[in-house]
Amino acid sequence: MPDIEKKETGAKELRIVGFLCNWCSYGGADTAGVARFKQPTDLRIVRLPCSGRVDPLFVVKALLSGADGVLVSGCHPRDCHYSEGNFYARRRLEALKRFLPFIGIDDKRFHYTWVSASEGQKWQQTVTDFTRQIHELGPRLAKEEIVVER
Amino acid sequence: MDTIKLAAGSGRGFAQEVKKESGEDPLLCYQCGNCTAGCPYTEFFDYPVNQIMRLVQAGMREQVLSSKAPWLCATCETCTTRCPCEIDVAHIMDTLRAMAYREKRYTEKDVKTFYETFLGSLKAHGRIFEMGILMRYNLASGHIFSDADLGPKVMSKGLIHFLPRNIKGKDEVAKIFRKFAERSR
Amino acid sequence: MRVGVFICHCGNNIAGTVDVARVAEETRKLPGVAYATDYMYTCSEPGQDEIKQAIVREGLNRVVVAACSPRMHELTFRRTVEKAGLNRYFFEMANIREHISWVGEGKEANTQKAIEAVRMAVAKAIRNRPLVSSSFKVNKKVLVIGAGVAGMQAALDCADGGLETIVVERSPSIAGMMARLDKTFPTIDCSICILGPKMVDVAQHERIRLHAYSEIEDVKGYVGNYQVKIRKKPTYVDWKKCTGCGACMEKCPTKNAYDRFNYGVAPTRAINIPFPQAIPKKATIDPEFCRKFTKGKCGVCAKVCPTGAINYEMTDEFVTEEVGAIIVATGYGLLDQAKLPEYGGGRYPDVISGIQYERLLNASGPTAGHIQRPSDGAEPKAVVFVSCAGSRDKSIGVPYCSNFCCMYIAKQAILTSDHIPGSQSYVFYTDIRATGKGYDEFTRRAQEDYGVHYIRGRVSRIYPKGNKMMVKGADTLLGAQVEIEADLVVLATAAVAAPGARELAEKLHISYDTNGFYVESHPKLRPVETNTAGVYLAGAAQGPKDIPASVAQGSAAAAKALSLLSKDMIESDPAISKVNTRACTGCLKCLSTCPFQAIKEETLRDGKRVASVIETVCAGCGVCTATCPCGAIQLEHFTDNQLLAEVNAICRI
Repeated sequence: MPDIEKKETGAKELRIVGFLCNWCSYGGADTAGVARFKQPTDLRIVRLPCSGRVDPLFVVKALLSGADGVLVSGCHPRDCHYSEGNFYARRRLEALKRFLPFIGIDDKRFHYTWVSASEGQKWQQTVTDFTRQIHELGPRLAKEEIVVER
Repeated sequence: MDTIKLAAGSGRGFAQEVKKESGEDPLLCYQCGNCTAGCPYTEFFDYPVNQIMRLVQAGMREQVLSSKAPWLCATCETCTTRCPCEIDVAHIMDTLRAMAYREKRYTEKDVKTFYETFLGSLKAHGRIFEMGILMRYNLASGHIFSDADLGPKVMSKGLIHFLPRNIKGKDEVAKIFRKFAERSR
Repeated sequence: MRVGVFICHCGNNIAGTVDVARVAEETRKLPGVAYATDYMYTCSEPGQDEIKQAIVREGLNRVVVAACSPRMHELTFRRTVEKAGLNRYFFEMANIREHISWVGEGKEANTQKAIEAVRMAVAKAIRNRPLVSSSFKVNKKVLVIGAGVAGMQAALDCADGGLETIVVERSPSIAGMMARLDKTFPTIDCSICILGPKMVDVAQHERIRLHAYSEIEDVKGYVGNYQVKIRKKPTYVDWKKCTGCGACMEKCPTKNAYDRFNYGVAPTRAINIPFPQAIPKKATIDPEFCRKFTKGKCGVCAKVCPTGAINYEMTDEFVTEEVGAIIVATGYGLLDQAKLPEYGGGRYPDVISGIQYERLLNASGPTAGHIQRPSDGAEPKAVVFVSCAGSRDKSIGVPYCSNFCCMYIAKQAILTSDHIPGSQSYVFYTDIRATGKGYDEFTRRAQEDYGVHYIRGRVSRIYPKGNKMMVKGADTLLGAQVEIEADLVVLATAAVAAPGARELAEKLHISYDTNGFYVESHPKLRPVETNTAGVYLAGAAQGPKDIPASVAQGSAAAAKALSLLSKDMIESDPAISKVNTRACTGCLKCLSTCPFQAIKEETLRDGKRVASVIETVCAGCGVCTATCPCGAIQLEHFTDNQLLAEVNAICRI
């Protein structure tokens, strides 16, 4: 079981937004819940029908309005509820990941992955690892100079 | 066999230790027995391969590390090839042998002696000096005339030489040994 | 805006690690929230009454419930608010159980997270719009793909239930795997004797139409209204004229054609009727072996055919059927022995697969039920059965158990001893999986009454020695290697996905797992539904299963199709994409990305060309919305504004 940094140890909670597809990853997060797989509490989940619904702008907007990290998770490639939505997601999000440094955002703050509805343990691992990664980077606005006025 | 007392977590410790050192997970084994079915040395083993795996799973450290099987394993890798769980069983046997060696449990002394003379020769010459190994092994193991009858035959064919022939990169090979020794310290 | 928020305790499940009273208190401070309370069990009947009363009492026009996963109770609460007069899409749910109370790091952190989850749900609820389902007519016909026992059962049940049923089978005869079996476990019933009448029923049913030797070319449409293009493969025999007399088969000079029905146990003719009970009982030419096709001259069958049915010029023929539901019962295939080189990989004639052995045992098989080993026709005295030949073997990509081998091996061992008195059968097993009714007793009977020697272990190698096959394995219970001199070895080769299963899945828009088996909608509660509405699964196409399970699933799928098509109209999910024609520039990027071809081009009255969503086809994935460069096409209930409101609710603080 992955060890979880306890908030009581002093680390301040950071803001991570998760975009999860309803059929696989949201279900995977539910499975992790049913199995009581403990996770850090930093993540806030937005439910979508499909990872293909994720407009890359959502990720950018979240990061620009104060999120410290964004996680997108969908069905495994070839296992999409809508047969090919996650292929579109994969292409768009990969392009986005490479684009982020150009607008002054560390691409480590964004991660996309695939977790199926049965992979509760993988979900726990994903959340734990990504949260740790964001904590290593620290709060976004404190570290990075660029503050975009909206 | 004595009654084995099972308690929470018993077994996991040793299995994890083996997993950490070998990179192979013994807990994946579901005891189909295909390793034993294919093993060419089973008749010499005190425990057949699948039982070694079970003993590791059950955490029977003492039995495993004092058993003959890891020492007698020839690393032919039939078990690895056949394993339906994709466990590198032969590598687990290697690991168990290394563990036993570190704890000075030389269950099969001759095998240990052979490995030492073999690797010693490799370290000294960068390759195998057959005559040297032969002499050293036969002396150290006490089987002085073991396989001596084969001598004239191989020598007449020029397969064995009286003097060692070093390779060009002999020092580099020795360096590998030094590095390994440093790392495992 | 008057939002009402209900925070559920879920007994202690949520209240144990989330301060629900504080969540309610914080929620009351949010703009737009008119009412917030916490409740012990919101999903209970009194809990739902409380929501309904609050809607009336407080004049609520949006409702948020913070409780378990929406995958659990969203529908429950949607119905609740609908009963109180609100549009069901005015309801939102915050998941504070699976995602918070059960996994969080402590009460303080959990409570804070729950407050924010509620804030997100409130922000979205405020922007929710009323959506109304539209309804459309259904076509009361059903298509069954595959006519094995599961497909036949499904077709018969549908037809008996009054539906026009179309059956498509890719081989020349219906029947599937069951027709190839000799007997069935655990009752030793004759397989074809119990299947035959069912086949006749299918053939004679007034509401069943059969397309044999046909495959699915293309599937268009949506639940209730599918258009299926079927390719009828050329048989080179006009089946309208063919009487099934068999004269062609008798006279055909090509005697070495591969017998697909008998899995190559013996050769057949290039023109053949696959087996005596075949339905339709018509001849088919195999162009791979027929001299007319391979060498260009022969034509014997054309000369002997009394009705002049032979037509060498036949080509593919296409028919389109319109149906409301589809049942997929395409069965399974068997692992190629070439994947098992340690067992000879198919090189040794006396190492055969279980299905081949069935044909040797079968009275209507090539040997007329006499067990003769393929190499020299001798009667084997020592027969070794190897279970898990490929199954439960990650290294060759079959990590699962093939389900029925343990049982059919026990059956074959029993039959062997019946056929050849004085013979000895050996069974290598990994675990005996005999969980059905009367199954374990059956495997015990094989050992106790028939003296079958069960060996717990696997076989590492099979090799020939003289005219014997040497089987080298392990008996793990003895902790020793064992060696058997066998006359015949039968491998229980793994059941794998049927050839072409993946391609068919892609045509039907249903998902399949890594092994190629079709995936059901829910492993426990929706076992025959797929994620595509109106497409149902039956039999081993979903995973290896035995006859009773396949029949049960066939009936279950039929019941699903019948209940779907019992209505004249079905309601569509209104959470689909919608085009704002003023913003649409007509670039039609959405049209090319839509996985369902649910978008078409449309010309408005002023001549402007825009995208238009076909409501009944759209599945609501939202790929188009993320594609549209000008935000003109929006997925209802998940619009950009709604989703960004959720993001803003947590990021702008």
